[in-house]
Amino acid sequence: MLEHDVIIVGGGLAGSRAALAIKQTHPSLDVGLVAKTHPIRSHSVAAQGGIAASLQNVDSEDAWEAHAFDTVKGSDYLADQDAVEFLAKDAPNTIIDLEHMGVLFSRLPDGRIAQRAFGGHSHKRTCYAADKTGHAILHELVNNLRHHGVTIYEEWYVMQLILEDNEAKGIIMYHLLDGHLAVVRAKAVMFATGGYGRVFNTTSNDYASTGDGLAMCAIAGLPLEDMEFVQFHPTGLYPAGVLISEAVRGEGAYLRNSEGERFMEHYAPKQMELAPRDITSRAITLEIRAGRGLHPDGTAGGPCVHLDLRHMGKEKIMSRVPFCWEEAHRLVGVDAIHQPMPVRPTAHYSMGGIPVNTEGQVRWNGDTLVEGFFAAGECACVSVHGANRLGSNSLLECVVYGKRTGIKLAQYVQNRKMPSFDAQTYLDKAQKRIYGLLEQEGNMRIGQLRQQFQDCMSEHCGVFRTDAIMQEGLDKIRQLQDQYHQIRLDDQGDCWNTELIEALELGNLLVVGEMILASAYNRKESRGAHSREDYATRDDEKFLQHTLSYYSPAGIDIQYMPVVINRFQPQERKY
Amino acid sequence: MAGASVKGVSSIWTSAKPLFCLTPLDWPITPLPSAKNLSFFYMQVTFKIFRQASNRPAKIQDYTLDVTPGNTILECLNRIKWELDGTLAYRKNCRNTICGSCAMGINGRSALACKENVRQEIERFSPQENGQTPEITIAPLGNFPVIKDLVVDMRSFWDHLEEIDPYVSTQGRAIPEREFLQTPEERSRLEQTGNCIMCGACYSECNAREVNPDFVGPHALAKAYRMATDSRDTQTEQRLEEYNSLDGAWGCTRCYQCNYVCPMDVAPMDQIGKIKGELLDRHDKTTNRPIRHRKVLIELVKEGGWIDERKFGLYVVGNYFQDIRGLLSITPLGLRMVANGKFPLKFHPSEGTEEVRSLIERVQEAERKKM
Ligand SMILES: Cc1cc2nc3c(=O)[nH]c(=O)nc-3n(C[C@H](O)[C@H](O)[C@H](O)COP(=O)(O)OP(=O)(O)OC[C@H]3O[C@@H](n4cnc5c(N)ncnc54)[C@H](O)[C@@H]3O)c2cc1C
Ligand code: SF4
Ligand code: SF4
Ligand code: FES
Repeated sequence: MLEHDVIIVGGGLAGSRAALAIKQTHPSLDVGLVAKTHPIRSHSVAAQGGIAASLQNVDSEDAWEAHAFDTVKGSDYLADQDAVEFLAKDAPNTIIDLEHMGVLFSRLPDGRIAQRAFGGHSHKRTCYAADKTGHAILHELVNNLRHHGVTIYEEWYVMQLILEDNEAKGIIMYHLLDGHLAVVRAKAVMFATGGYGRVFNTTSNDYASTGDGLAMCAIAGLPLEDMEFVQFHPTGLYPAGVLISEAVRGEGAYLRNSEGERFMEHYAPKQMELAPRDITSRAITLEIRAGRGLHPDGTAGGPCVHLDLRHMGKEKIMSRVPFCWEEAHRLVGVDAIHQPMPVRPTAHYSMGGIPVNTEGQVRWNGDTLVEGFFAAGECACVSVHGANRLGSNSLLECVVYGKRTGIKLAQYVQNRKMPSFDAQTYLDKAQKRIYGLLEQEGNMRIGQLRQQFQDCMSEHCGVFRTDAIMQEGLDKIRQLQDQYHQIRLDDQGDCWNTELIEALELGNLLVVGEMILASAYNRKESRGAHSREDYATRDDEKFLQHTLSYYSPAGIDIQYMPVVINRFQPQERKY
Repeated sequence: MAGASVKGVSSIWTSAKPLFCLTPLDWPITPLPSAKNLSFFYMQVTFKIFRQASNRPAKIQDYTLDVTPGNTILECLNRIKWELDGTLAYRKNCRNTICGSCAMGINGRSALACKENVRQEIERFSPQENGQTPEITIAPLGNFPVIKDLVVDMRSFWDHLEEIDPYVSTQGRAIPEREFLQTPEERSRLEQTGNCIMCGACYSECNAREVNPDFVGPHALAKAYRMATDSRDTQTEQRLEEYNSLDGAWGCTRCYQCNYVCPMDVAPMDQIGKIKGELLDRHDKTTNRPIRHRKVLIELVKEGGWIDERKFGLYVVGNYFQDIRGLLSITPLGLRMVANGKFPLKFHPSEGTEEVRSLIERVQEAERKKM
């Protein structure tokens, strides 16, 4: 059995930052970090636009209070304001920290870190590294992991959280290289497993974003918070779904419908293209519904609108957002200097997740914490994003709360014993599950079932929702879950069997999808990214609360938990 | 599963090394068709994929698919895996040329599967003749042991990266409360190397790595240049000292492969050239053989318009008669050359010596000004 003081699952920004924080504050602690990809390949590497902090390098009027207010307003008042306060206050320090570590930020002529405008932020506060911000930060963090002596388990797939008596004791993981199963025992476990974009058929997320951490928690009986809030990013490149960063609009690009009109003036006349993402995604969806979308084959009323960069000119396009130009050129053959890009909303970010307190410790419910278990990053819900996240706040959350959780973990394990449990039983069960999948004889391929499921979620829990549509979706999902036992694997081997991994991931997607639908069905109001046609307004009286959903194979139990409101009173949200 | 079929195993293959590479200029790239054409036009393509279990000989398996010319190679592999053969193994993640997972040998050169598309591959490597089904060949990266199919063991790649200490060290420097200042010019010098996604394409093609397993590789040296040039790093001199070896900068044979295949335009060979430049500036010719090689070369060409090979060997290997061992080591070669009548007994300076000399001096002058 493997042992570490702390075992971290996930090597993206949140996991890597936490591991470094532990090593920086307590170098003698033994830290292991597992990732199903190499950590440097984690989804964080794909983040483009930037990371917010009121550094005041460009805008001297900015302050952490303004950042906090924008974040709370963006969240449609569902964010916990104590968590937001820490985020906004610590942001400048966190950026400086990263800079000292060697991150290559873009610079102003005087040598300070450059900052730009971003949707929903009232000041220019987004720091960036051209349009490869995630790449710039993650490469630096991961290169520092080895330097600081963190043990890295790359290409190990974590299958299960070991939770006994409200206490996390370790994990079970599977080695892609040779099919070896291992139990890791640790004084504390941390999840930083990222998002679940793959629940939907069009997503900006990578293939690994399958909500594994969330599903493992749910199956272990822990609650998930605010799962109904799924961010659809307005500008996914049509049809692939990959992201055209908001930075493109931050630098001045226009959204146009088939009539060439900048339709955002009807939806957010002040902020126009830089309105928050929920509003912009709905605007695009409504334009398409009203027959003012485009089909790339030239007919009107189709599935996308145009993102127009042409007036920005070649030099600006190539210096500020070169990667976005390259994406459109590579994937749809569009030269954005001369042609508009086809875009439509794409599933992008998970506001909800594993409920944690502001030190990253996982909640059992509103009052009780789980011993030995922590989480941070996109898989966690602290909650700084509430019902809608502002662009460039997520990388920030990953580093701020990754670091904070790391520091807390280092203290937490000081006076904790290595837990004990019967590892063999867990190993036997995991082995049985794997054999079961390898040997089950069905008539379906993984891809078929996954596609049906993703189509179902996109149709029944997309940008706009109603009771009837979601009820139908829930019924369908349960049928699809039953079909899980009818999938058949071609690969029965134990060396780099990615088919097996895909089957395990699909199992997780099915659980996460159901949690999203059930939470959404029960929230009978419209707030932030959760937009209901049958309950079109926000209902603070009933729903200014966090959803906590508990999974069981028999059905999902929904409870609610109060929101921390200690600074900004809820108002109507206008842009 | 319409439009797709497995033709099964064809021939046995043993060599994993690409035979040739076309330079980008050899094939004019026609303008891209509009998005319309890309999404609605289907064609049949056969993918010839190297299948291999670790330490076993590879075989090629054919899969035929209906694809659109705009499909990336990764999208095609996914369809093969999801519709035809779930046992196929390859790495992928972002599908957007940023995570570095999906480098593999595509039609004979290392490239990202999520970057290259069907149309360009066919135009460049399998132009259609009289209705034959075009083919695209996919193999694992070279210079790595194969784990399974297209998945290779990258341990040496990461270990080599580690050898150059790939993190900015500000040790011994007062850490300011705010950011270190770095001008846009200083920053832009790091741009190219900063773009590396650690995909391994360069390493896979590197000739120096192939003959010397301890050569740290183009990715590491490109990163090394970044570290040595980063205005925040305090270890520049120690770093340069470390790279001053045959396993470091001097191991590069300037074969250009890394520059040619790098999907992010990192141009590792150019970065290595810059490290060599820094080293040459810091050392006189007595330091080591590679530096002497460079310096003597230039000296002799300046002197005679071309190289006096008699002096070249003596100066470079024999270190101006100071390295007795070195001298002894080339003595047999010299004697053999004399015996075979190949030893140049006389040296005739080139008629263009004056011109060559002034050219070199002008370049040297320009280099000095640039610094
Ligand atoms: C295209 C794109 C652009 C974005 N741009 C921005 C931006 O500009 N600004 C911003 O603030 N935010 C941005 N975001 C959001 C932001 O990038 C993510 O929210 C953030 O990177 C998540 O980081 P993380 O550390 O939580 O998880 P990730 O980076 O997703 O890492 C998850 C880790 O967990 C591991 N893992 C998962 N499951 C398992 C398992 N079962 N076993 C073992 N390991 C596992 C993975 O291997 C990986 O290492 C963007 C997102 C996308 C999709
Ligand atoms: S230098 Fe280029 S080819 Fe080499 S690892 Fe980096 S991105 Fe890949
Ligand atoms: S130029 Fe040098 S580093 Fe690049 S591939 Fe050739 S030998 Fe390797
Ligand atoms: S899948 Fe990430 S680089 Fe190709």
